[in-house]
Order: sequence, then structure tokens, then C-alpha cells
Amino acid sequence: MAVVAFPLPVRTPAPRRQPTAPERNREAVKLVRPARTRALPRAGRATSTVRRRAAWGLVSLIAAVALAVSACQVLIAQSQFELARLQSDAATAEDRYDRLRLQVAELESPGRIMATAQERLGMVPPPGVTYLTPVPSESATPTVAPARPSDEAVADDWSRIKPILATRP
Amino acid sequence: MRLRLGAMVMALAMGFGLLTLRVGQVQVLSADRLEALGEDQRVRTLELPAERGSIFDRNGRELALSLRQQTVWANPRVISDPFGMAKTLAPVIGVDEDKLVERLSRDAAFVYLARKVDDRVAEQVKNLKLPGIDLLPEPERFLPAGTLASSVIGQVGIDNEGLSGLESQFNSRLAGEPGTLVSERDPRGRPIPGGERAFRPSEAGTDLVLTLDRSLQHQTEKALASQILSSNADGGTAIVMEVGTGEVLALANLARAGADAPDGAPPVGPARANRAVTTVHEPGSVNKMITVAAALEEGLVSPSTELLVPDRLLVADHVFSDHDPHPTTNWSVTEIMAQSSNIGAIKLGQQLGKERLDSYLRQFGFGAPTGLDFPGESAGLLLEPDNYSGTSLATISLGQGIAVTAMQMLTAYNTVANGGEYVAPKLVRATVEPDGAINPTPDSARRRVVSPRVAEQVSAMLVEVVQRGTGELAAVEGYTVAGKTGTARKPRDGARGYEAGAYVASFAGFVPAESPGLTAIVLLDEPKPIYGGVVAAPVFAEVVRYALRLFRIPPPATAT
Repeated sequence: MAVVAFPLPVRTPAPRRQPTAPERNREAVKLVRPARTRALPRAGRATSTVRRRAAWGLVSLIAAVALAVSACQVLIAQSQFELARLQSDAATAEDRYDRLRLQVAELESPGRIMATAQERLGMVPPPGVTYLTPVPSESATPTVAPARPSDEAVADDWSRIKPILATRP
Repeated sequence: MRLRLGAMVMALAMGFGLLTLRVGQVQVLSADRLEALGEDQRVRTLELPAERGSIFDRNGRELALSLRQQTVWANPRVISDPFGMAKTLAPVIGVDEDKLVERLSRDAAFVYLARKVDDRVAEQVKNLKLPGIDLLPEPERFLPAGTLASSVIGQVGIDNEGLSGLESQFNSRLAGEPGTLVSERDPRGRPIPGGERAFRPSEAGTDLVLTLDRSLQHQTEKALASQILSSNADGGTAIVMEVGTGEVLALANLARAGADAPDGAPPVGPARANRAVTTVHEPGSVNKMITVAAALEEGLVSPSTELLVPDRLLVADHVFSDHDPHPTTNWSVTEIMAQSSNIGAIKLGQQLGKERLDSYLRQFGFGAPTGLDFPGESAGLLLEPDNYSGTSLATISLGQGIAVTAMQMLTAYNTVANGGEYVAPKLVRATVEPDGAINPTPDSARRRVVSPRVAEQVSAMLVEVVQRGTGELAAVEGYTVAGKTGTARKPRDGARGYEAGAYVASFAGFVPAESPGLTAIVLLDEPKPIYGGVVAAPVFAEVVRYALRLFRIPPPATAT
């Protein structure tokens, strides 16, 4: 019996038809085939996730930085207002200090003290002063140098306070 | 579809183009103008006024200090109803309504309405919340002790510039350096966060610590004022000095209130100028001390040397006489001084000669400023010996024909008190710098004029003047006072000769004579009675009595 061999059909690739111009255009806009996407290997999917997460992280970071910058701006603004308030308080306190300084000086003025003593307290100058004449003995020698009514502490206090007084308005 | 798309693209392109044009206009063409406009709205440059230095007495008590007060100002360009505004403001700030209308109607962005108002008025103005009206802080000068030592301290103007006295002399140091603050502010005047541009702080002025003692100054002015009133004098001057240092402890210049004085003003008030250093007078007999000291220093006489003294003496074409008639008699130099003999002084001057007399007058500090550098300080008037007339030697020997300031005469007496060594007077003891550092001023210049022996001899003669001569009323219980009276005629204004019946009465001296601590001089202008021993000596006694207690200067120990 003769065996007739039938050639098996060979799948040869069909010659590709040159697409027409519109077809070419249509083909070009097909950027992603859903089937192919589904067919992505596992490693590719992981890379995509990482990228997505990185993007989200970047966005979050930018948002956080923006928020932090805003918070800093708010803090700076608050501090600025607080600084302005403190400066105003300091200026008020300095004004008060100066006014009290003037008031003390006025209250201490000899004219006012004398007027108060004479008019309000009824004091009068003594009719005379009794002097004790010392004799040239040891007892007559002053043991302490004659003290001046100088109050160096006043000047010292002032020299300490003066540079502290602010120079802002 | 395409048409709509094209229209949209076109519209967007046009919009974008317009925006680009606008941006170009804003950012390029009008950039400078708009930037300036914006800065003008929000950037404010404030001058920070420097705090003017204070003036203290020797104990650190304030004699003058500056405080921030509020000045009311307006921006007339934003005021639409000047009449209504003036009507509201006038009673609050105490300025005439018409004046306010005129100021509020000016074509200006800034006008003063009332400067340096008190806090109550400032608060009232603030509460009115009037548009275009604002407050501006400005420093104002205050004298907490009133007019005390005001002729020495001087005055400042409305802009805080020194006009007279120490305020003028030390203006550049007292004034300090104003600062600036350039800042961005919101419409309510609050600083914009982070908007500050530049800040240069002001530097406070230097403080002056004077040599004056506030208590002694008060007592001196009080005693002098009382005597001006009781002797009906036109005015007076009194100075107290510490012998060894030349520090002026008190300096009073008072004058009787003029006819133009406001109602309620005290009858005697501070003189407008520091006459003690700016006004000269012929010293009269207090000058005899110099004639005698010169004669002693030159070895021409000793305190006990006797001279034949008539009560009248013809010199050139003028007959000089002693105050009281007396027979021609032999008087010692001490007696000549004690009796304040004009003829005796003339004879001593004649022995000295004009060159030597002139030389001693200058060595004692006459004819030159004292070194205080006080504004308007006078050097006095001294004739050059070549220009002496026939009577000049005689008149100058007894204290006429020359002119000195009270400060010059005081330092001459202080020279004797200081053992013959001249010490220049001093008014400023120290300065307090902006950083608080206290810098003492240099010690006063010194020079020897007469020997300690001569100074002691002259001092002993001056003690005689107070103990049994013309200056008895200068005595202070428990102390030995040395001093000399003077009663000098006043020259006519703008004419030769002397004013009839017009005299300057004076007393200069020191205490305790044995160990001098204080020198003082008192002058009264045209008092009645006219004599220095009667009107000036008691003031001297009252002032130094207080000063001796204040400075705790004990009387000298005496043998029992």
C-alpha cells in the first residue's frame, strides 16, 4: 500500500500586509493593550508598585514639607507679633521707669521737702546751732574720714541701668 | 468642533497674551513706580530719637532729665473737614481753633498741632480716633528741682538742642546719636512678620555729673533770694567752691523779677544768664587782697610793716580818700587790710608799680577765662600797663578800673586758701557714657602764684578783717572765717564815670581759716545799704554755716 504523504500544513507567517495610511495611524494610537498589561510578569508588577509608592511618598513628602513650611511661617508670624508686643511692653515699662525716676527726683527736691516741712508739718528752722569745739586730744581726732553726703550708689545704679534701657521706639 | 476648539485656543492665546502684556507693563515698564508706591504704603522709616543725657548733681541726684512725651500731628491731605476737626481738637489740646484750621488746611502731609503734650491729653486725642490725626513720641526736658541752678544748667529748645548753659556747652555729647528703624507695617501699623528691613539703634547721650550739691545749691539760692528782697537789690550771685579741687559746690544767679514777669511769679527768680562767669563788675575792695599779697610776695612789706596813711591822697588829677575820715596815722599792712584803707592800698600799689601789679592780677586769674569754657564766659577787663592813665595804678590797687567775674575773684581767694596755689574752677565732675562707664573729668589745672608763707600771712590778715574789721557779719560760730568786704561803684552804661548811688556789694572769703575747706563769694547788685560788710557778709555766713555742716567739716581743734 502506498503511503501517501501529505505534507503537513506549515504555518508560515502570512506576508504582512502593508497598512494603509489611516490604518497606520490607528495602529499608532494603540499604546497599551489590556491583554498585554494583564500579561505583565510578576517582577514588572512589583516595579510598578514601587514606583507608584515612591510617587505617593514623594507627593506626601512635598505636602509635609509644604505643611512644615507653612507651620514655620505661622510660628514666625506669631513670634513676630509676640516680639512686637514685648517691645511695646518694654517701651511702656521704660516710659514708666523714666516717669517714676522724674517723680522720685521731684519728691526729693530740696524745695519741695522744705515747703512740705514748713507748710504741712509746721517745722521751723532752728533759731541757732550749738557748736561743740573739740580740744586737740585724741578724742577730738576723727576716727573716720569725714563722710561726704555723696551717694556713689546712686551713680553706680544708674551706670548699670543706663546701657540696659532699650533704644527702640 | 474644530471651530470651537480653534476659538478656545485663540481666546486662551489672547488672554495669555494680554496677561503677558500686563505682566510686562507691571514688571518692566512701571516696575520702579509701582515698587516705590508699594514701599511707600508699607515701608516706614522711623527716626529713633536718642535719649538726651541727664544732668546730675555731685551725688547722682537728677537736675535735668528727658522723658518721652507725645506730639499731636496731622496729615491735612486726608482731612476733609478741617473746621469740624479743629472744633473737636481745640479744647482737648489747648490750641486756638483758628490756628488749628489754618494748620489742618495746609497742602502738606505733616503738620504739628501740639508738641509734647502730657499723657492725659495724649490719651484723650487717641480716644477721639480722628482720621489723619496721630501721635508721635518726642523727648522733653524736665528739671525736677524746678529752677534750681537753672542758669548753670541752661535751656534746651523745642527740638532738644541746647540753647544756653551746660546744655549748650555739652550739647554734642548730651544729644546722643539718633537711630533709624526701617520696617514693613500693615495698615494698622503692626510690623509685617519678617518684613523688617534695617535697624540702627539710637545711642543715648552722655550724662553729666556736676560738682554742684543740690542741697547746698538750694540753701545758697534761698539765702541769696532772701537778702536780695530785704536789701532791695536788683540781683545777686553766690558761689561756693571746694578749696583743694576747685569744684564749684553751689552757684546761684538770681535777679529781681522785672515788670514783665507773669502774675504769681516769685519776686526773685533765676537770672537769665550765669552772671557769675558771663558778667563782669569792678571788684572794689575785695581786690586789695591781691595788692597786699603781691607786695608781700615781692618782699616790699611784711604784715607788720607800717605805712603813713592819710585819709586823703592826691594822685595825678584825682583826690582819693578813705571811707571814714581819720588823722594821718601809721597803719600796719594788716591794719590797712582790716580797715579796708583805700589810701593804704594805693601806697602799696605804688610800691609795686604797674608792671608787677598787672603781673599778679593776671597770675591770680584776671584777664583770662577760667577754663570752664562756659558759653559766654568773660575774660574780664584788664588794662595793659602801657595804657595806664595817671590814676590807673591807684584805682586798680583798690579794685576800680578793672573788671572781673565773680568766678575770677572767687578763684583768686581760693588761691590764698589753697596755700598760694591757683586751682582752676570745675563744674563737671564726671561723665556717664552710653555704656554706663563713669569717666571722671581731669583734675583742674594748677599753678603757684604766691608762696605758702605769703598765703598764710594774707589769710591771717583776712581773719582780722572778719574778727575786728569790716567783715564781722561774716563770722560763723565755732569757726575762724577769713575774708574781705567790697563795695564797688558801678560804671555808667556806655559812658565814662560811675553811676551815682549804684554799687556792687561783695564779700569773698574762706573757712576754716586754719585749714580751709570752702571758699565762697557773695555779690549783691545795687543793694541798700550799699556795703558788702552789711549785706553780703551775712549771706556768706549763712551759706558757709550750712555747707560746713553738710560737708561735715569740723572746726579746728583748739587748746583749752
